[in-house]
Amino acid sequence: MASMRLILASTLSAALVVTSACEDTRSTTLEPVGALGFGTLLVRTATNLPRGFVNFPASVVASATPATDSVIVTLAGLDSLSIGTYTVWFANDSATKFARAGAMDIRTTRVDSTINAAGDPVITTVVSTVTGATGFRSGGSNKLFRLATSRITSAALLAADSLNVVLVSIEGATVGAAPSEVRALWARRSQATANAAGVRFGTFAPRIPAAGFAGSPTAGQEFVVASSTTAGVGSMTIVPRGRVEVRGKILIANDSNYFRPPVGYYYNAYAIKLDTTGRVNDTVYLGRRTSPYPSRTSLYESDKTNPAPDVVFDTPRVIFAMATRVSTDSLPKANSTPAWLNFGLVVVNLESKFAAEGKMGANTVLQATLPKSVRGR
Amino acid sequence: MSRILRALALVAVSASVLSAQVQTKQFAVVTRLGAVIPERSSSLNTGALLGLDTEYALSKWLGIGTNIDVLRSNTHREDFLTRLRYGNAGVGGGDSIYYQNIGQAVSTINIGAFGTVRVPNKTLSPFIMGGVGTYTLIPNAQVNGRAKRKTDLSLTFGGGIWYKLGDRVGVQLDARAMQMRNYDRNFFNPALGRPELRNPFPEDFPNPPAAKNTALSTMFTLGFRYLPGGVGGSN
Repeated sequence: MASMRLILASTLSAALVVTSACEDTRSTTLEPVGALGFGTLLVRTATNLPRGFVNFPASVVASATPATDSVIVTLAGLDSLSIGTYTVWFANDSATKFARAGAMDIRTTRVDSTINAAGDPVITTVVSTVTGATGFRSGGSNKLFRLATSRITSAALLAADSLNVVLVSIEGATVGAAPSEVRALWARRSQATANAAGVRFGTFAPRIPAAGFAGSPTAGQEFVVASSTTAGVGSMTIVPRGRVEVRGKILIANDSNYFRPPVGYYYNAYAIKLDTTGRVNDTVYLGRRTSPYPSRTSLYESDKTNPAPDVVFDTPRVIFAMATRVSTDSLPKANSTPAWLNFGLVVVNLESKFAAEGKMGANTVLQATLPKSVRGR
Repeated sequence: MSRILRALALVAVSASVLSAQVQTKQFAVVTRLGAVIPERSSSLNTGALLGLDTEYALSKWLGIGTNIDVLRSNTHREDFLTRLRYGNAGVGGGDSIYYQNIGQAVSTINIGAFGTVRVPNKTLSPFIMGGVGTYTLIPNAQVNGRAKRKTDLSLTFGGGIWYKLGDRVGVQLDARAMQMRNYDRNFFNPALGRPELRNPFPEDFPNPPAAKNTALSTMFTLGFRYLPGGVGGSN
């Protein structure tokens, strides 16, 4: 009897073991996990960073005729400021003495492009002029500024002082004797060709880096994100790159190889909604850029401090990796069915901290075109 | 869970036939059936095992022997996320990506030598055992795209009871912990080192527990104990 029970038990046991061993929980290609993802590349745009050039007076140093020693500053790609004012300064080459430029004649050229009924582009140019201004705060991707002033407008600049640096800073309500720490645009006469010098965009400091403008100055040296030719054509000397992927409600942007922003600037991201004809319909703010997973630390303060040493480097001054992760649950304009319907572009912008946050500025660095699979047409 | 229930059922259907035996200067052969429960960080699921022990009783209290265990279980496929990518992200249409968990069946063969210390009684004899050996992991060649093996050191420790059914037969119920040394669960990742492994949505998929370089598998078995030849020995 015992033997029979033993045989029965052994048989049942073997059957259970064999069943367990043969259980099939393997994957097949017909069983993807969750929603399908759609990806596209973030590509550097034709530079739209702040740029321009400066025409210095012919007289190199001390001037006997300051009233006719004009300084012409041509700028483009500026953000509109919600607080603060763009202010022009003169300085000697070692920048040991600053003098604020006085009355300026500002000519603003705004270029608008539209599509007419025949489908052809129509370019409209509007020019406006302001005289005697000491600063300005408007900006935009379609505005070109020509600032005309002269040595004599700056009371602090004596006739015996040299004028070898022109600097554009952002100043608050009270302007001091020297520019604020937000010194993002400048040109040096020592780097000029025929009295015209391309504007450099970055963080100005008195000393010119001995290693050139490779983006790796030591502390106290100036740091250049982009430089312009004497024709005002700007270029970034580093090429960021990245990828955007949309999966269900989640949009992820992972990108790398950025300069740290100039003091007073930060990186952010926007998604752009298109209408049925493919024109821009709306911009949706995706927030300040962060470091990648897992920390996702805000990089808003990476202009002056190092909030994420794992991806923000001091030498060279680059941000090795950035990321944005958003869900349409927190973005009502994108919370459609399917999610992200009609969204055609994702852009990474460099924006002034003095501009209105959430209102897309002029300085797009990278752009991704979302595929039809996402935008729905 | 279903494997655990089956293992418990396996014990239940056999519980009525327990008894034990101990013979000195005598070989014993134990065929074992049971379940294996790997620790979670190994990325292996609960599975089944077949075992064969050969033991020589040095004395009433001590024995030495060899064992071979064949384990079969599936990998925890949520730990092995990969992507199937179609299209080109660099062109207008972008790419389309299927996320996929890649699981596979793994056979593990553990061969070792062990020693036992037992407390013999007339019908029921508890014992403890410890041993050293070598394990071999054999994953699915089709899933991995190639045949591969991993072999390294294993350590085993456990205990159980023998129950005598007759002069030459009995049953054995035991629990053993087998530690696999220099273990690397990435061995089971078919996409290891390939770009398909990157996951840009880490928050949206479960993360596996921290990896370890050892893996502990707990084995519960019911064995059929047999003394071949009927030679010598007494309790």
